[in-house]
Amino acid sequence: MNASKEKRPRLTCRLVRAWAAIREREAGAADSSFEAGLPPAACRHVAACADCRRFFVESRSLEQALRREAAMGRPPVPEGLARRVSLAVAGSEPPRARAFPGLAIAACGAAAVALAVFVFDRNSPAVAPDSRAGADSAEVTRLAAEVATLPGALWESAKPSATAVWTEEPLRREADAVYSDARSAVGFLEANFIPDSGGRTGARPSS
Amino acid sequence: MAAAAGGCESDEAALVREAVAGDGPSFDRIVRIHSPRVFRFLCQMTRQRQDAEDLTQQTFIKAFHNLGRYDARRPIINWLLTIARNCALNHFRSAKKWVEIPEETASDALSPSGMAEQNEQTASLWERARTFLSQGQFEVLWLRFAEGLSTRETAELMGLTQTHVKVLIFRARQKLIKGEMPS
Repeated sequence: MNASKEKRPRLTCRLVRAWAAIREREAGAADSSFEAGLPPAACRHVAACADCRRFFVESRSLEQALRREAAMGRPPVPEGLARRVSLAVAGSEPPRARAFPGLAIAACGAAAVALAVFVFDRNSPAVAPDSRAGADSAEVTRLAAEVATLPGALWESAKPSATAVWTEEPLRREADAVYSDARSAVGFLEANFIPDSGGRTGARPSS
Repeated sequence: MAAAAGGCESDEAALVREAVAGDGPSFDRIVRIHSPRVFRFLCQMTRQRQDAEDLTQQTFIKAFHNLGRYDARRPIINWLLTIARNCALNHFRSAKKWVEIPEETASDALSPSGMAEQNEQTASLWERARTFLSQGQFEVLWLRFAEGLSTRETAELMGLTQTHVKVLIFRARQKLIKGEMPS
């Protein structure tokens, strides 16, 4: 019927061949028989199946041919190859030791800690070291007195009021505008489209 | 024979020990003994004689600087071939290509007789294997039958399991028989 189908080996044949390939003996496999490692049932199949026998013979001859041709067709080795290789080896430098990735991670961690300490230090109130406590305390007292005498109005003017911040914030103003637009839109819809008690919408002209 | 092989192995182990200890001439001997095989292996991988020679140098430089990592229980040629294979793969990765290079470029440095020989080889079974098989199948087949490594050694070299190597060989064999050996 179909030539390719007819040519395709039967399932049993394929199984036996695959089995033989997997069980193939290590030493002198090309010379020893492929079916040597097969279980008795598979051996009986090989004995009865001409196709399988031919396959094993062909496999053996193929491997022998591969060995033979590899031995014959070896490319010639260039003159002085060993000398050139030896010179290259002698002139080579040992590869640089690859930097341990942990070192990079540790360096990044240290940098992050240093940055965090710096930021924290900037935000936290300055604390006078103990050694300078005596000298600084007088200055602190003087500064505190000066701050206490600052006019209240000046302090109030310097401190922005919450309302000013609220109104001057552009995002807030934008939100307010959107809110008022939405309110007017809802008002419009309510006035024109929500049916009144008689079942008519406001958009229809009253007769 | 076995005694000779054993002697060879012990010679090699002694050479490697001396090379690890920093003896330059010992490593030079290792280079002299194994560079042809490494070169041929790289030749079939790259199909460019110049690339193969550069990669051979790279292989031995890497081996020299990493002698301390060599497992003395394995034959040194397997270790060298592993390095060579990795060098070739890196080479292809950096070149962003894995292409078949025309045979004439692979035989730049050959004499006319060498060219003729090379042309004959294009019709060889290995050339057909290169055409028919996937890269992995071809590599396994080459290591197993051209380099003469065992299944275990091939698996170690390619970073595969032995079963995977056997499956690749089985499929390669099937493809070649189906495609190249008319019944």
